[in-house]
Amino acid sequence: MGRNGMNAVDIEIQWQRLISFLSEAALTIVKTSFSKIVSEGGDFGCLLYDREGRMIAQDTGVSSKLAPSPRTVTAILQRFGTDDISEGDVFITNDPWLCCGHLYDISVIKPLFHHGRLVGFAETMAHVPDIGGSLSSDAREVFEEGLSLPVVHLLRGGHDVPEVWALIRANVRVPDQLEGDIRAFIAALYLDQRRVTAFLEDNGLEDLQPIADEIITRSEAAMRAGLLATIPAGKHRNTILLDGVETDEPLSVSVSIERHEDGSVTVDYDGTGPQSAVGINCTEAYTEAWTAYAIRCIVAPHIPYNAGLLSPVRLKAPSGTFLNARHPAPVRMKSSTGNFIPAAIFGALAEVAPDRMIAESGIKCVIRCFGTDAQGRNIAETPHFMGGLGARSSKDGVSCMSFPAAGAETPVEMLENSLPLTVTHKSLISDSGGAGRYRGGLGQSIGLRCESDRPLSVLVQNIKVHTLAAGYAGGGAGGQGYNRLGGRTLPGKTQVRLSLGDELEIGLSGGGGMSDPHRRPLAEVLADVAEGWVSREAAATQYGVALHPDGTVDEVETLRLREPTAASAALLERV
Amino acid sequence: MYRLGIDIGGTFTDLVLVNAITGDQLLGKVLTTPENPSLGALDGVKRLLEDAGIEAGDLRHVIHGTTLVINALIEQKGARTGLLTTRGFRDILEMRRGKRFDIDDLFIEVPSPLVPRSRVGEIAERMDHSGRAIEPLDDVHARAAVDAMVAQGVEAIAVSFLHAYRNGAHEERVREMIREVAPDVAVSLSSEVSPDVREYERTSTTVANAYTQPIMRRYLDRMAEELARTGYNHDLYLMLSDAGLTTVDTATAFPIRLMESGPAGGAVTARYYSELLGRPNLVAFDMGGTTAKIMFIADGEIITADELETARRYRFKRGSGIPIRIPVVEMLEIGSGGGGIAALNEMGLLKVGPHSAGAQPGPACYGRGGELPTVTDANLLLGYLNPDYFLGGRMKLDAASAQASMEPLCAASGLSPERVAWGIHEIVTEDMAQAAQLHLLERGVDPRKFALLAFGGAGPLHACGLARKLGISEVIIPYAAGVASAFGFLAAPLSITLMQGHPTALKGADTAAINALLARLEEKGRRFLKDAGVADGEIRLRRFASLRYRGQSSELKITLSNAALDEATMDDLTTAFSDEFERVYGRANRRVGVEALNWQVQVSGPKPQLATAQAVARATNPSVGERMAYFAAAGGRLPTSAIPRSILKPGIELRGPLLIEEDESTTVIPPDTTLTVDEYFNLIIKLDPKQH
Repeated sequence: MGRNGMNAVDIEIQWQRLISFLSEAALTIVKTSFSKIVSEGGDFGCLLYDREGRMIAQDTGVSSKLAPSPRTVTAILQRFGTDDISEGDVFITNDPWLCCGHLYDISVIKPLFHHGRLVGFAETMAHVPDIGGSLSSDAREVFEEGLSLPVVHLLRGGHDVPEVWALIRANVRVPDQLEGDIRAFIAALYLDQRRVTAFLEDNGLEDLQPIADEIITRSEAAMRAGLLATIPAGKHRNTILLDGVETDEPLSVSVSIERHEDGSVTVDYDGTGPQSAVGINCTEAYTEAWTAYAIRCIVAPHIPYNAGLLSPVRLKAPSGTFLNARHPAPVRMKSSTGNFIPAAIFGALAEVAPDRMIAESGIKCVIRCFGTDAQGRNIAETPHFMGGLGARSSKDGVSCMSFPAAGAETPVEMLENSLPLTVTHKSLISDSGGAGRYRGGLGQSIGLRCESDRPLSVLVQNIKVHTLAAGYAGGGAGGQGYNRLGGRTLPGKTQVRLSLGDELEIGLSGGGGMSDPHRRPLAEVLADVAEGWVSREAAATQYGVALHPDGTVDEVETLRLREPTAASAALLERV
Repeated sequence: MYRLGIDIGGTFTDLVLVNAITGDQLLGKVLTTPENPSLGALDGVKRLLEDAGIEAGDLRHVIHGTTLVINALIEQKGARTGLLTTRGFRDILEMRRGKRFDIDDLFIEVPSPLVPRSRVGEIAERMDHSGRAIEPLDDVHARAAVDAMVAQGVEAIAVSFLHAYRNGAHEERVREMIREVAPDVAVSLSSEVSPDVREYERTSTTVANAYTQPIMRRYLDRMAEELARTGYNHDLYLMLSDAGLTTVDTATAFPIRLMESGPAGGAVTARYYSELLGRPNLVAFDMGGTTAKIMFIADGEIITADELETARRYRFKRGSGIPIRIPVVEMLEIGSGGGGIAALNEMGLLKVGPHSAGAQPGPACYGRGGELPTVTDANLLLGYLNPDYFLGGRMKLDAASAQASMEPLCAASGLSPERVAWGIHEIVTEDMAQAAQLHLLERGVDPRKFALLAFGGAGPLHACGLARKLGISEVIIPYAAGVASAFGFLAAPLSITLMQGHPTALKGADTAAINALLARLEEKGRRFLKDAGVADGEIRLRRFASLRYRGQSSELKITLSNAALDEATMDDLTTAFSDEFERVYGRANRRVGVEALNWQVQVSGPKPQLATAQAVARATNPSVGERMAYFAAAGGRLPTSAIPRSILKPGIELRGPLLIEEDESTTVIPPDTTLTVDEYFNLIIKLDPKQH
């Protein structure tokens, strides 16, 4: 029996109902948003807070919109105070240090009222396709990266604040699309208000505090129990390397995870490289989201997100590193470093939680395309392409599925309907999955040919062209990514202007393998060769499986290649 | 004149024989014979005909629905199939849409493609998005690819080229090449199976069609032959997933369209009652032992969708299966049914499902070795189920075992067995309501304007609770709901839906091209109906466009007038879209341009006129009993009459609480509700709106 006289049934029903409101809100956004990055990419989150600003439930399609600390809501409470927040107000901000790390991520927040009293906040955090600013990737300050919106009223008393809307529209390239998106976010917030009203009335409650207390207390206790069971006391360290910026010199993320006696953990990024002059920096808010996400994946993936679940995870990211950059550092390409935070954390825990692991994955490559159509109107599209998922402790990786960034790819046919491009090929790359007892998912290669005599600007963020997705426990690394234009190799993060007939080729890295490839059963290696996922050469050099020209196993050579242990002899017999 | 409906399901084959003049119905249920399903079905037909005292020659229509297609897809037991794609795109099936459909689970899996990569061939050719060939089909290369594919010993080949929805010429040429070298190989073209934009979904659908074509052809040949041998001398008709009937020829060409033929029959039954009872808006709720699902009738029409997902790796995770784009009755799985297992999670909270005890070992109260508490156990402890009259008394339920199964939950939660049982009942109903609510939102449906029609073994038991949570004030339990699908087959018209992808902005669209496209589809549809014997004057035409605001990723289906389109009607269409958008989502953005993705034409014949069912009271267990049944609104148990449905006569009016018992199910009628029995022996339950 919980506090407030609530029991295992009441709490479950109320909690699930709150989560289901947010799922409804998320659905509203998917169906009404004007941008593919939101509606098809699912790059947004719907969150619900109690009146103190504690997050109690959320529905997010992507992990980076978790908001472990309620920075936006806290900023509203601080700036306006509870007295100056009224029913019908809607606030907006895209401050990267409050929201989600770059100006493209917009937060729209509505205070929720019941019987005239503030009872909580609903928030939509979403990635929009354009926020103005320079399109080049070499901005040196956040000021160059687009429109900055501090926390301001977007609606007051249920009415548009026209100046703010006008300001936003005037600063972006696709004002109708952006306004459409923001209207969709607002529609979702209104739905939240209606649902919360009905919820309080149905349950005879004055506010959300009783259920919020239960949710937070129980989640925190379950999370601490999970941390105690999964992570041994003491410090667990790891350092990983990422592609450098403008040079081949790699960046490094260092992490130390210390599990304390009370079940909490401190995740400390001391030793991580300094903040960069270009926009690959993460704000603390963004680093915190990925940190909380990664810990939960390993420890308690089934517990819903809320402030209680997240509170035992403490972040220490030294100020001035690229995982906690100071204003006005440029941050547009935050994901090129932030996406590696989970891998750094998993690596630190790989030995202590070996059955819960995923090797490093290929990346999601985002390309931003800007041009004009035949009528001279601006076109902006942001297609995503996926690398290969890393192998797991007990399963192969998945090809064309990235981690940790999620979202869906834009269909080739939709892309060609909206951009003056022909996709010349889109295919998986043989041998790009890291070798292992469990093989990494394959990366892919995409060719994009410009079909317009009006130049098309393409900003590519392919952030694994130097470093590789590492395998774990003896597994091999995934294949390398690349960008090429007319036979020329381009940097990973690059902006090109395509002219008629130019063909850009983007190669996406594969996922790392798990455990010794010589332990992969022969039948699986043979199947991989038959399907073309693994070449004959790699079968021999990496898996120790030699094939005759007719495709059958050269047993003598295979036995010589594979360590002649009893185990591998047994594997051979199974063919 | 007799009509016969045959619904071959996984476990049972249901049969309904109707005398079209008198409306007399005869029902049959036989075990399905999985090795050769037509055997069991034909056996059932013979017995039913004997019971009715008629000959097969007296049958005018035999209408059939089957799970053959969906089983082949789920069990991956279709034909050896190959795929030919545009050069550079052979990995289309493997790459899917790249979506990690569960961001929290590091161990997710995706279903294996129906065609392995080693049986995917590439052909040099390319259309652009307007359907212009920017690279001609290379004949020499194509023939080599076809030869190589045929040499792999395939029984079926799917051909899916980029932008073939705009121009299928290259696909057709490749089909000719296949015919020349391998006339027996079944060929499915994406430009015919699913001519819509989005290459993965179109290819996946085309491959699934090819994969099931050879088995469907063999099956239907055998079925038709065996029916003919009994003396039946008319055509066989098949139930489509979108609730229309079709011919053997069309079913053989497009077996994928039969994927959900059984559930589609349930939707037709719902529409039949919608019309009969004058309730234009119905939510049809079907809850059985392992699944609960809902379908909709709005304004008297069955709500259909353009896509569904099959062979999901995770039952309730969207995106974990294989997408199939076909016209299909929209159905949403909202729960795991009466076998759903209850447990406490790591936070000490009660959860029900998704694991199900199924039929083996089944709920604890079945006494077949099941020890885990299920929804059915909870319903027994709450007094809703009669332990001596389950399945018409053919099975006894063991309350002591049900009680014992609850004990671990009671100990851990500190709640009484009764409170836990009520919690299970309430949570399963709440979960279904939430899932249904999301689906309703997607459809822009306001449930308060709907009545709930419930069937399936557990549907009538949870119907009032579900209705209350959704704000629905009327629940209908139809007569003889046990064979709802087979009955629906008899009420479905001949019909076909044809569509074509043709993305265009509405403003400035080439209306002549769209009119020509629609005319082509209509012509094709009319020809199909005429060939099936429908007179021109009886044909009903409906036209739709899938529209969205420019840049959005999902569409709304908007009805077009049947007149030729011009600039003015395109403006009307733009307005109609924004109006519908506003109805569904609450806000429209009329400044943004509207674009169409595809255009659809549905032609259907007349709905068969079924004489109203003359229900005959069955005389099993006519005694009235009384049990103490738990009702939350009353704060505990109330003495509740348990009445056999067979003694309820039209015109009767009773107040809840009541339990109405019949062989297949029990209807729970809570306090503050009114039960009436209408002239067709349906139970009509009115919920007190104050309780919402």
